[in-house]
Amino acid sequence: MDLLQGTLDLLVLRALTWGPMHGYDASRWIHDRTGGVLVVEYAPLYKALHRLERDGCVTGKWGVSENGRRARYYRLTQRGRARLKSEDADWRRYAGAVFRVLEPA
Amino acid sequence: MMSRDREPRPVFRLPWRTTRALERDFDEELAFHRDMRFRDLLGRGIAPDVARAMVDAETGDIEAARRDVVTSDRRADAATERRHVIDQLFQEARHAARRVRAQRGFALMSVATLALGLGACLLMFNVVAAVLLSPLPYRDEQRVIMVWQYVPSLDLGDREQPLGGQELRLMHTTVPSFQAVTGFRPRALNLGSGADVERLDGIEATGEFFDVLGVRPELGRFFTRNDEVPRGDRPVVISDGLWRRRFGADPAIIGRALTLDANRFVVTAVAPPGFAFPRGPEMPAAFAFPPRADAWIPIAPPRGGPDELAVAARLTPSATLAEARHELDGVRDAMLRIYPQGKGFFGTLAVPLRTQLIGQSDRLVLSLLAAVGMLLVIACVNAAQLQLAQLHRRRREHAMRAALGAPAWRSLLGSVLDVLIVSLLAGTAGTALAAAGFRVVREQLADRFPLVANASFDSRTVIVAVLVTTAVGLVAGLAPGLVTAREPLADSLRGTGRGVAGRAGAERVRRALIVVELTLAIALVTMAGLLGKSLTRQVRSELGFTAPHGITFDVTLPISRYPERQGPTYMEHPLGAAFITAALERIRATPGVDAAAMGKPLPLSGSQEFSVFSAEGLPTPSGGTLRGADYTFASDGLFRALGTAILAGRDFTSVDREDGLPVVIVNHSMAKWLWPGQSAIGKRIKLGGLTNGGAWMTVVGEVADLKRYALTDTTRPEMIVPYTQRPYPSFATLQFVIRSRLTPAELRSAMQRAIGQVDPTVAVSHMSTIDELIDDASTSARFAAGWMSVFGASALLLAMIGLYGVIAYSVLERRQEFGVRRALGASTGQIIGLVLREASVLCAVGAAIGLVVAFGGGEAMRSFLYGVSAYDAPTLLGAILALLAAAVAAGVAPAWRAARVEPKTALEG
Repeated sequence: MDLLQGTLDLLVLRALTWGPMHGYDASRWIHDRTGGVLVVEYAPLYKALHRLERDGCVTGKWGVSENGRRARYYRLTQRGRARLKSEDADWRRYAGAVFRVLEPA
Repeated sequence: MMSRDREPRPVFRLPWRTTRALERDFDEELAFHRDMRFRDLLGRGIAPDVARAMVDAETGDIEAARRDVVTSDRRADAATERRHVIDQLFQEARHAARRVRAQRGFALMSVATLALGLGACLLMFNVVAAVLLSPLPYRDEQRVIMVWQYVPSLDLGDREQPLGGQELRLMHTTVPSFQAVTGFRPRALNLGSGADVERLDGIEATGEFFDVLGVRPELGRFFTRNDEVPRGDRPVVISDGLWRRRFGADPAIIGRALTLDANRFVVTAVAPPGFAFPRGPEMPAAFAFPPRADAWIPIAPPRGGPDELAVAARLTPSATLAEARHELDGVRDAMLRIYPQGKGFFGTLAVPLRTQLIGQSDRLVLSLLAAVGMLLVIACVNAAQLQLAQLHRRRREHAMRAALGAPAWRSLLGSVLDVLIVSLLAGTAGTALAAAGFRVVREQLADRFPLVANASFDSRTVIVAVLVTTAVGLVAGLAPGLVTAREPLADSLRGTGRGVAGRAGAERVRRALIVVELTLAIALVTMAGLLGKSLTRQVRSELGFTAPHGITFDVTLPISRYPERQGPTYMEHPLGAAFITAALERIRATPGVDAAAMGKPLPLSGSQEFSVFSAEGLPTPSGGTLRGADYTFASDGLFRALGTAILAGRDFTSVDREDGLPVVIVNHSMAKWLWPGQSAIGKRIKLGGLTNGGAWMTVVGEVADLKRYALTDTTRPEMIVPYTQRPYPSFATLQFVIRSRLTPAELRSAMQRAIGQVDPTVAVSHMSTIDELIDDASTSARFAAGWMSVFGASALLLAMIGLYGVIAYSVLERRQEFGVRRALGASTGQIIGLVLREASVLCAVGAAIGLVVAFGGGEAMRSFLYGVSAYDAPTLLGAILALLAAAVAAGVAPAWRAARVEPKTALEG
């Protein structure tokens, strides 16, 4: 299932609350968490990560992965947490509103 | 913002990532992702080619993503970098400010040192700007020139001699380079009459005077060539000052009638504010122009009579000075054809107006500028020294930072910022100092250099202040920083400075710097000494007259009431002569007046008269030119009133009447020149050539030489004739000298009363004591010597501070060594000697190099030196002794501290 416009940032930020991880881990986490319903394409994922980094929501640093390869690790910053909190609330309100519309009267 | 406090600040990062690097990063990141996914799929038993296809499908549009990520990352990088650099700058600035505050004593010393150097520099720059860079208030000033006659075969002191009406008329017609040309001469005028009479300094000028200068009137219109020959009321142009002072700035002044020298004039124009051309101090002394003119009246180029015009011309826009000079040679040749004998020896001299007005003062102010430049270098070196010591003290901190990965430039930046803060404070203080100093300078030079009198502390100086201050900060901060940056890390980390290589390096630099300082200090002290000695020589020189109780004043006779008459060989002034006789009688009868006489010109009065003459029985000099000598006409009693010694013969007496034997008194130089080894008494001379019809004058007295124009003059031959017999060339302005114990204020009214009894339309003016005349004559010398002493003393003080810093620091560094020496039995005296020897050695090296610099400086100032050689041994010796004394003074306190080191210090580590 394709992602809804504007939800990728939220998902990535949420993934990173588990601790520093690289892009692949983040995408796996989203995949597993949604039971494979949401599939994140790689290109948009990295666009999102870099955008978040520029905005100061995450910091990226090269490190060594569990299998000994060079990988870029992303970590949530204070600002990222704040952003997650507000987007989380926005999304819940939005989703709630959509549910209420769909609910049989 | 919050993140900055929580996230660890990278100590060091590459300032910039290239596009290539960004692309590589992105590709690597993606490749890792794809690879992990591929392995994952394989792990679930999916066939490799199926897995690869799946990965590809999941990837999406790589190219677009990469472009997007790379370009925006680049932009973000740049912004981050900017923020980062600014952050670091602020951080360093905060650190620097904290350091400066923490080291208040050190900072204060640096600020004081630099403020002194900068202040002196800015002050002199402002003077230079005022004298050399300010535009003259004349339109296209570079096209205005002065034209003089000069007489190559005679030593006339001033090279610039006046021209006559005939030459002026020739210039009007035969010099195409001249767009306009004018002749002018001083003309004192008495304004009004009775108790209200005021003596005005005026100028008579031919019609194109104001066209040449290119000024516009404030009110009315200036006179032109049409006004040269009077038709009806004669026009007068008055100065802005006179208009305000005497007429209350009355806007209806134009057309007002004035009585000048009992003639009717009508005011046709008011000159613009500040306009006072020509000013006496800017013109050759021979012309006796007033310090500032208040009235200008038109005249036609005079016919006949003595040459007494100063000439100024405006070149056409296309003409060059060389062309003008060439055409002026034509004027000379034409004059030669008219006067084959009389004027055969003259040439013309064309001088740009600016050169004329500034004269030698440019060299004076440039010398002083060079001097303050040296002072600034000394101040910078001191600041650098202090900074170096400071850095040395902090080298452990620096080394620590370097070891932790701080880039070298951050340490350097810190060091530069320290000094920049200090130099900004110093720049502010220095500018204030310079502005205050300039007020003093203006006061001192107002009379002598009108350009300075009108100048203010201007914006150019402030711009220079900012530039120089910043430059000083950079140099004084960067240099020591670079030196320390080169120190090996390990040495610095060891910290106590016993790392031999590092210490020796820094020590060498400090010593070299202090030698530079001492070198410049001794050069400045020497130059100050030379100028000071020169000044002393000038004011104590054999003047030929004495100052105490001597007072001089001027009296101007209106030409209209005291007409000149062309006599057979000279101008006759019967009424003028009668005036002098009557006036002297009244003045001498005034209670409190011990002696009184008339003499024109009086010594140091700024004017000069000159005449050619022939001597009986002496062959005409080769080349057919005539001998010339200074010419004074005087009353009896002049030498008594001046305090001049009569060496042989007698003074003028009442016997020397117009119908008596024509007599003359010569000075010692003239007697020695004409009749060496013989008595001059009884010899005869006559004015002009041998064939001239004038009478032979018999020498009746020989007097001591008088300093006539400047204290630095070499005395020249001079003849003095009695006003009763040979009144040449003009009686217009007379000068009196009296000896009296009355105060100048009491005398002024007494003299005005005495003169008024003779003629109520005549005013007493320019009263001054002989002391004041000597003061005025030594203005430049006092200015140069005074400021140079200030700069020299400052240099000495700064060098002393610098030397103290170096020695004190070195003693601190060598505490342990002194402890060892003490433990081994060195006496207090031995240790003190050891430290002082170090100071003296530095001083000796500085002095040796300094003397070479001082020689150069003395050579450059040669033309300002009077009675003292540029290599004056006592002065040089004095400068060396002063420096040695300063060195010892600087060394005593540290030496004492060294001697007090406890032997147990040897064991500390």
